[in-house]
Order: sequence, then structure tokens, then C-alpha cells
Amino acid sequence: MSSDFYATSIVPFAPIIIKICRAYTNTQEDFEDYYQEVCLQIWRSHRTFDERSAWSTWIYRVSLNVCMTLLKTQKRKRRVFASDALPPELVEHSRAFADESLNQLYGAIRQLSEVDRAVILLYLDEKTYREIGEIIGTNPNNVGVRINRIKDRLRRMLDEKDHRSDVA
Amino acid sequence: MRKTIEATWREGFLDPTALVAPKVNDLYTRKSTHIVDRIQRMQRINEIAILIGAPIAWAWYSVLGMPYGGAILCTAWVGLIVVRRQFPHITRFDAPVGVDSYHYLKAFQQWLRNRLAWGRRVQGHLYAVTFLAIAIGIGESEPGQLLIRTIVENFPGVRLVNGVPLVLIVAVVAMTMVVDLFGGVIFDFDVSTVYRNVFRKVDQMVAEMEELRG
Repeated sequence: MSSDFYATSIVPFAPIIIKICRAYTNTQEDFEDYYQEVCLQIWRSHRTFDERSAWSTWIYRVSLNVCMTLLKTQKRKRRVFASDALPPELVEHSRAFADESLNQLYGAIRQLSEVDRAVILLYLDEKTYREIGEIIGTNPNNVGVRINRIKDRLRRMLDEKDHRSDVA
Repeated sequence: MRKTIEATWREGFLDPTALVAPKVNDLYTRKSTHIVDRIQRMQRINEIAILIGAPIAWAWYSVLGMPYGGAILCTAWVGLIVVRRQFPHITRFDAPVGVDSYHYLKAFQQWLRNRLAWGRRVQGHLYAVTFLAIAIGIGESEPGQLLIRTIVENFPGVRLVNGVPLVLIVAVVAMTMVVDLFGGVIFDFDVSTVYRNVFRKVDQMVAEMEELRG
């Protein structure tokens, strides 16, 4: 990868990659691994980019594919269950952002399934249902229903966490 | 009251430092150490497997009535590990200090090449020893004895050395020499069945890093 490619084709879209990688990793170490792998895969695959969609859409797709694959591989290799199988208090949340509410939201997102994480990230980044369907390869008609279900689940998780904090 | 999920997301990213991209040169740092760790871990597992597997093979050979063949096999493979440990520069990669990931990986690649060259030179002979051990094992086993008896019965004039037809000894020695001749090739095949993918990954990473630097 040339430094030029990184500077012009990745750095401007790094926020997308960072947001996605954070949602699939629990530690700073894993985050760095995922970020590196996504950048390398974008570089390796950029020649196959057919320009039928926006470059940012391509970045979303590659980032999500890489993160989902790495997470699956990691689960298989380490024989541990993903954060969705662990009680939230046992998950080492990366205090990645200054905003504590955002960290909490990420903590909740990490407890979703791989695909649900992708859907909610795309929704929060204001992608249309059609774009979400295109990126994750699903029918746009189902996206709306799925988003509502995910949001309900996230709300419940966050409320539960608030309740636990209040009790404590 | 709690903010909506959308608002939490939007406002959370207002902090400009939250989404700063890492430097391009750091991209390979962790990947390099991971691959080096992985290969070294694989090599350690390989050594442990030999140290555990060799005595088990001996025991198994003994059960099958081939104790001498098993003893040779076990001694040869355990001996390889012992000999290899006498050469720390072969067993251990001393990572250069204070270098970037490219030079780190290049140094590792060179160390790997040296180790493989050493393995080809030394371990390459072990396949011949293994063949010899199996042949001796078969010779002392019941089917082997039956074969010797059959040869002696059919060719009563055959020349025997310690009760074994000379022709059989010559055939085994000749085959052992052929195996030894191809020891390097067998070693390459043996190594590539286990390490092919990771070695290819190292080469690919070095090539990518060279492109990145260029």
C-alpha cells in the first residue's frame, strides 16, 4: 500500500473504519489488529472496486466483512464466546471515547450478534435501508423491522445498566 | 432522562480526537509480531510433539515386536531436538532491538531461511534413519522373520549375515541411501505441509511492506 493510497483513500474514511472496528472489539489491542487488517484488505481489494457504489459504501462493506470474519475466527480459535455470551460486567470495555454514554452504547452494541452490529452501525451512520441492505446483502424491506428490534434491545440493555448503577 | 441512541451516537463523535486514523507505518507493527509469535509457537509445539511422540512410538513398536527399530527411531528424533538446542541461533530468534516492523520481519525472514537451511542439512538425514529404523523394525517383527524364512527356503544358497540374507541388507542399505539422497526434498515437503501458509504470509507481508516503503 502506498502512503498516498492510505492518505487519500483511507484516512478520509478512517472514522467509518474506527467506528466499525470498535463495535467488534473489546480491547485496544484487538481494535488495532482489526483496524490494520481492514486497511490492508481495503488496499488489497481496491482494484476490484467496480465504482457501481460509492467508495464509502465499499469501505463499509470491506470493514464489516473483515470484522465479522475476524470475530468468527477469533471465537473459533480461542474457544471463548463472544461478548454477547458474557455478562456485560465481565466484558473488558475499551474506554475508547471521552464520552461515557457513547462507551456504554458501544458496550451494548458489542452484545449484539455480528450482523445486528453491522445493521445498527449503518443505521446510526444514517445509511438508508436500501444502502444497508446493499452493504450487508439483505432485503431492504426487512431492514426497518430489524432496526426497530435492535433499538429496543439496545434500549433495554442500557436501561438495565442504568438501573444496576442506581442500585449500586 | 436518557438520550436517544441516535443522539448518543451523534454527540459522542463530536469530540474531534475520537476518530483520528493511526499512522500508516504502524499498520504492520502488530501483524509482524503476531506472525513471528505464531511461527515460533508452532515450532515449539512441533518440538514438544516430537519429544512426546518419539517415546510413544518406541513403546508402540515394542508392542508390535520391533523394540530395536523403535529405539533407533526414538533416539534419532529426540537426538535431533537435543542437537538443535545446542545451537541457540537456530532455535531462538533474537529480535533486533529498536528497528521498525519491516526490518524486524526481514530479520525474521532471514533467520527462518537459516533455520530451514540447517534443517535441510541435518534433519534431512533423519528420514533415512527413520527408514532404516522401520526396516530394522520390520526385520525383527514376525512378518519380517517370515519373509527371511521364505527367502532362505526358496534360495538355500543365499549368503546370510547374522541370519539375514545379504541381498536383503544390500537392498535396505541402497534404499536408505536413496532416501538420504532425497532427504532435502522430503524435508521441504514435510515443512511445507505444516508451515506453508504461514511462510507464505511472511513473504507476502514483506512484499507488501516493500511496496509501502517504495
